[in-house]
Amino acid sequence: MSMALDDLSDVADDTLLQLYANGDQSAARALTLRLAPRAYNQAYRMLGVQADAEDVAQDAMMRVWKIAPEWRMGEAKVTTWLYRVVANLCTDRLRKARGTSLDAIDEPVDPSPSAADDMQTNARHDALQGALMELPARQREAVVLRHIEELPNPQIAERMEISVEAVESVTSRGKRALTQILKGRKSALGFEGDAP
Amino acid sequence: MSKNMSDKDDLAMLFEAAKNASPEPSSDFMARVLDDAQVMQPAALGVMHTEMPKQNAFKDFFMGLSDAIGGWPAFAGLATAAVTGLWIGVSPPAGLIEPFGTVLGSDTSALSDALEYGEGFDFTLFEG
Repeated sequence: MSMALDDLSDVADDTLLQLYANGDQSAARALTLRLAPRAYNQAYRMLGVQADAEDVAQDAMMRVWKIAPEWRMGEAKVTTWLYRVVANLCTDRLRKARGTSLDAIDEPVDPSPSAADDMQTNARHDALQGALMELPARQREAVVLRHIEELPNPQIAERMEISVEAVESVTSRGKRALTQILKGRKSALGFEGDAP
Repeated sequence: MSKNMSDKDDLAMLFEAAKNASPEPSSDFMARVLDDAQVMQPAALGVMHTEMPKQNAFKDFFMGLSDAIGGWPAFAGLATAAVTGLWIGVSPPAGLIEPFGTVLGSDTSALSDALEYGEGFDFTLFEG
């Protein structure tokens, strides 16, 4: 889509929120470009379904717009706050989905069909996403943050509101479970007997 | 891909693929979020900006006056002057009346006429 570039890229998130609350329209655009994809990515990793991820991310961004006039500068990081909002919304949605159908959330849908030469990469990505969806939510969250988002453990601890030791433990258990899940799918992933 | 590759390496490869294939949000989604931002932004600000001056008009008047005359010490001086003036009016010292007497003649009744109050007038008449 055509949207103005984030020309406020050097401005801190909380300052942008203040500008937004004061009626600065360029701040609204900058915050959207900066935070919405992040919220969407996180929601997609947690939910595995594009439409659900978009709903959650839009809901989370609505909360950003609402809280902007009351945001206290320097008290919390906007990205950390947003992360918790998205995580909570995802947890609620997963809980509701489990109440209605156990299978409804376990089959990720590829949001954008890939070109033929990217099929294997996408198959691996989908397989990983599918395997991630079989993990308990906390393990999935920790594994995604550590190994896909590549955040350091102290930052993950802050986001998940647990200790660094707990992060290490949850991540480790998540990886072990992931390995077990993926063991039976090696051929589908192109790790066995595939063409170059 | 090698059959001998360890599970750990397989997983690392999958993570790498996932990093490179980060899902991009659709343009429709981005447009919806921006619409929300724009709709919510003026609504909150419009109310604040129109109502705040009304709520503070009285306070603003005194703050402006205070700034104009030099702050609270000036208010103290103004109050003292007002009380002193009132007291002089109620009970004028004899020395103050004399110059009027000089101007108007020796008959102080002329002062009474000039100030339009009759003989025997006393402000104590107002008391009870």
